[in-house]
Amino acid sequence: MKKDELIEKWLKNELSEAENKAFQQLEDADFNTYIVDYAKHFKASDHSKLSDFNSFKERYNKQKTPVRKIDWFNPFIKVASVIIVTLGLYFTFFFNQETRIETLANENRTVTLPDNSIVKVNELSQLVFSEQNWDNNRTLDLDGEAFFDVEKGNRFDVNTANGKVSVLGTEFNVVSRDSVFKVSCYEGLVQVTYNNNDVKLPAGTEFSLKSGQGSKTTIAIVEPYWLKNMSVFENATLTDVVKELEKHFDINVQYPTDLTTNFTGAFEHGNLQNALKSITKPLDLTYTIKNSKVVIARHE
Amino acid sequence: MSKDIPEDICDENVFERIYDSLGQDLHNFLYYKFGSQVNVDDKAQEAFIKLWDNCKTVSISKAKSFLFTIANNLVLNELKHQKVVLKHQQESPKNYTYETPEFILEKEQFAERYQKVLESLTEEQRAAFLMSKVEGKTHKEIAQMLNVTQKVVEYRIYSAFNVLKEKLEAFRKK
Repeated sequence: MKKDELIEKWLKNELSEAENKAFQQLEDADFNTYIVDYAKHFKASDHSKLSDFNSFKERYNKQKTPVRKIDWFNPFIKVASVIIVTLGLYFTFFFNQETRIETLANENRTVTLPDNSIVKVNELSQLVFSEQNWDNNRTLDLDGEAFFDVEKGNRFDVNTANGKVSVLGTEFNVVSRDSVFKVSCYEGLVQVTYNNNDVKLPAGTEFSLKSGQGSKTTIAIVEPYWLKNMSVFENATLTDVVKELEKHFDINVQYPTDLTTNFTGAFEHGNLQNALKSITKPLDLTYTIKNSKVVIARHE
Repeated sequence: MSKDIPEDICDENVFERIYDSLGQDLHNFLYYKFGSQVNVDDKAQEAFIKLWDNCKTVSISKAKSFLFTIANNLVLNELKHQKVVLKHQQESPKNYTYETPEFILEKEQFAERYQKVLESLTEEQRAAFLMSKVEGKTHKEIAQMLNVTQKVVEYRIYSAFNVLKEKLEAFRKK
């Protein structure tokens, strides 16, 4: 028998008695046996053993637990998911965070809106708007007076108690105080809606609403005077002028109520003496100041 | 008699019997094939977990090849062709004491070389060779575990032996 065949048979443990003798006669028989026997140095159980069944069972049960499916019919989970969905809907659709700007007497504030439009808010005014989704819904509520420099973009709406002002990108001023409603357009085109009427104001025109009647006039100035700390009047009664004066200087003014002439002109805000002069001179009146009380009277 | 009644391996007693009879073989097979680069005990147990999870679809006769296939895949998924590392037992194995034969000159160098050659064998060669020569499994048993024919097992053992002999030839005193 050939040597290779003998070794092959030996590896299979299939040597007969005679063959075994022949194998032992091989010159490298010892070496072959040694190589095969030496493998026992690498016996697996010397290095690693399988855990017994009990510890396996423990692991099996531990591994089971986290795989358990969520029981959607559990009443607690039902309630919790309804609450979460409701809160989610509320915050998505109804919860709009409002920005509210209020100015005190003698206070001007400049507000930059999310689209870089600029609103200058005059004293004693209130401006409310929502920054959320501003680019698609440029709407704000105004009570008082404000000047708008609107960036080009979508429709820009100013809601007031007296009417609505809509623009597409322009500069305009809005006054809405008590029954006074005045919109001045300095640049672009403004649309004013009041009592179901629409009025379009091109640049350099002004719209005012008095006792339900709207009227359009032209303006020559490039921006409202209050931005330059001035109050401007055109054919105004002395009562209106004095009201504005009292508001600006926070004073009490006595004046003749039966005056028929109207006032056209302006007064500046910084100096009471100068302001009184600007009002009284054209109307041929005099004034006296006593302990923060002002009296305007006819010339003696 | 009992052969006719299909045994349900979902039953804990039946499963424990399978675990005790196949567990050690599975564990050893993984060790000889992949060495100590993976936690062999862990992988063997994982294969048993998979078997128990699927106890309704796997019959008792298929359990053996199911376990060996699953365990083999589990390890292969984890390994990214890392080098096999086997641990060499420094002292002579228990119940097997023998003298270093004269033809081995350098005992320590031989041990080192033997381990290197063993590690360089293919996984299939090494697993078959060691299960046969260390664990004393018959070729038939190995063939069943690996789901291959007996001829394949014989070939693997024979080729493994030839590689070892050729690479260790230098240690033979001429």
